[in-house]
Amino acid sequence: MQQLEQDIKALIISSLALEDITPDDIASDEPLFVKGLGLDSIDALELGLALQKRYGVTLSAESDEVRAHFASVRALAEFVTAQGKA
Amino acid sequence: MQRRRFAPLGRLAAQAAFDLRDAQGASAEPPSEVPTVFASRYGETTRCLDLLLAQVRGEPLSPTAFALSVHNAMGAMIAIVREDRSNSSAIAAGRMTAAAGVAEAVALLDDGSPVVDLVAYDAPLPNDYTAFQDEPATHFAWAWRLRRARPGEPALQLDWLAGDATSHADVPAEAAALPSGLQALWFALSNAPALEQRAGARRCRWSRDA
Repeated sequence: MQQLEQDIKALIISSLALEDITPDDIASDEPLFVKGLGLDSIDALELGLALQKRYGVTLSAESDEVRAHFASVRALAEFVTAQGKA
Repeated sequence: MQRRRFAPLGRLAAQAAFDLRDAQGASAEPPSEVPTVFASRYGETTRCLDLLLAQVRGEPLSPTAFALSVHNAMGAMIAIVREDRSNSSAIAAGRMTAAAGVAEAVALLDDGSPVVDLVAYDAPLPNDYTAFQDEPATHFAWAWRLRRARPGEPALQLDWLAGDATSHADVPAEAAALPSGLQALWFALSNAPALEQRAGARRCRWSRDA
């Protein structure tokens, strides 16, 4: 899980072109959207695409669960693991 | 956080736009009352081409690239960054883009805006489109704040002329090596009495009232 979280942090940084930040600067349980890292809705779409390409996971845009999965790096890592894709 | 969404050309355009506002004095019109016209001949062509190439390869399209591939992408991003809700438009008009930007600005002045900001920016076409590059090209951006000249003030004038395929545009040598979008800036800064620009059957003439 530790390595998966690190990989997801690196994926966030590369797919969203975040500047001046390393994976170690992202706390696994900090909010990703609005607060914390401060990502927005376009970032959500871009990150969803990056996760699909990297891990083959798909997130339905309609699902209420999506918000919970995207809450933090840890939540994303748990989702990817649960999908059997890690 | 938004800076990552600005490609190099966008950063030039944003810098010109921000510098223009920063240069205004304390008595300037409030930003919310100043419309901005963004004029770029090729705008986000590189992003559009990248999206087309992704489609050809059967890859899913980047949502970010898609959102930023529209002609008013930079206008919108700049407005978001400086929380500017004033009127904003984005135009392109081939080799007459800068002139069309001025025409758009004049229309806004006529409509009642005391001043209008014009931000012109452009870059060379991406390599795959080199065959379409029909004028000198470089990355550039400049910004003007336009208003009607008051009586007695020196003024720039722009006239649209009937096209004549056999006439030669009056283009001073120093301007000929510049992209059309930079020729307008060159004219404003120089002592040249006039500059003509031509695109197909369309002609315009920049001149100055002493």
